[in-house]
Amino acid sequence: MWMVIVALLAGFLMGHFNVLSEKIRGYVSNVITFCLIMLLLLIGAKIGLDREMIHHLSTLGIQSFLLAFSTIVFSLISLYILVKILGWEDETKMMGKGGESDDMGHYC
Amino acid sequence: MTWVIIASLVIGILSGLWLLPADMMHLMDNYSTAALVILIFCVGIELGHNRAIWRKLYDMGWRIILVPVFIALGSLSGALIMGFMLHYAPYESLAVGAGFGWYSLSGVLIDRLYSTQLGVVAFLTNVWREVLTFIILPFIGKYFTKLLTVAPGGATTMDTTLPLVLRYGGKEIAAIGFLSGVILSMLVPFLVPLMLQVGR
Repeated sequence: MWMVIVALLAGFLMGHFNVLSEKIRGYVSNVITFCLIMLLLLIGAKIGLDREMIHHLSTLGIQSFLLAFSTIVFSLISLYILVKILGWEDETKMMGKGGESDDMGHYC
Repeated sequence: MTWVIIASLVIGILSGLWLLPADMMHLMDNYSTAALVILIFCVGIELGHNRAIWRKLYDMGWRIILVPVFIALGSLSGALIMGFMLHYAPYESLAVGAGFGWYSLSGVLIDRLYSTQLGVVAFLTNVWREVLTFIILPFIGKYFTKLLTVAPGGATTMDTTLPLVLRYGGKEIAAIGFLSGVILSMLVPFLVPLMLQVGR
């Protein structure tokens, strides 16, 4: 468990202080994709080998739907409370100082 | 990428059903812990490299950080309440809720650190979260304050659901959505293991 947190922090610090060369950094997203595919293949294989879980898959799917629905509803309520507290219905009050962000273009 | 993720899982299930002998699992388990640590290390590098985010946060004013904080609190309480009704232990539902829509990462984390069954629930819950976001966002944008279009997507408002936030919330809200998505993404690999750790 702590190995994960240590790995995350080590990576975060290395990323933040730009320790890695551009060339190595270019490989990082490929490594992420590769590891993800490996781990997902493995989860899949474990599900496939576990007959009991195969039988439960539809139940798990419905439970997951309800959990997702509930997280969305409550995140909406929670953000709505914040909007009420800070009076952000008036959208001009929302931004502290900068106002409109100018470099959104490349994200969208 | 979404299709690659889903295809990997399906190929895994099919090979588990028809190809692999049951005693293969033990061997694979050893390699997969290494794969998880490498994965998380690289995720850390990507998140840490996003330095422009701190500048953006400063420009928009510190109160903007309350947006992802409240979305996180809402998501966690939503998962907790529904999880209680479905007879999940509190820390289990909190770990699932802390995925904030990042299904691939929360799924593999919980599978490795806790159990495959809860990993599957985390994966599916967060896939549903993204799908439902696509469905309800037009409705939210039309009938509620535009800022609320940032909430349903959770961590995905920095990439997959950002175009929708832009469309139904507008340019300024999309800037907040991107920021909120990045901050929530940073929280996922910390919060998921933390919730599981606290529960034990």
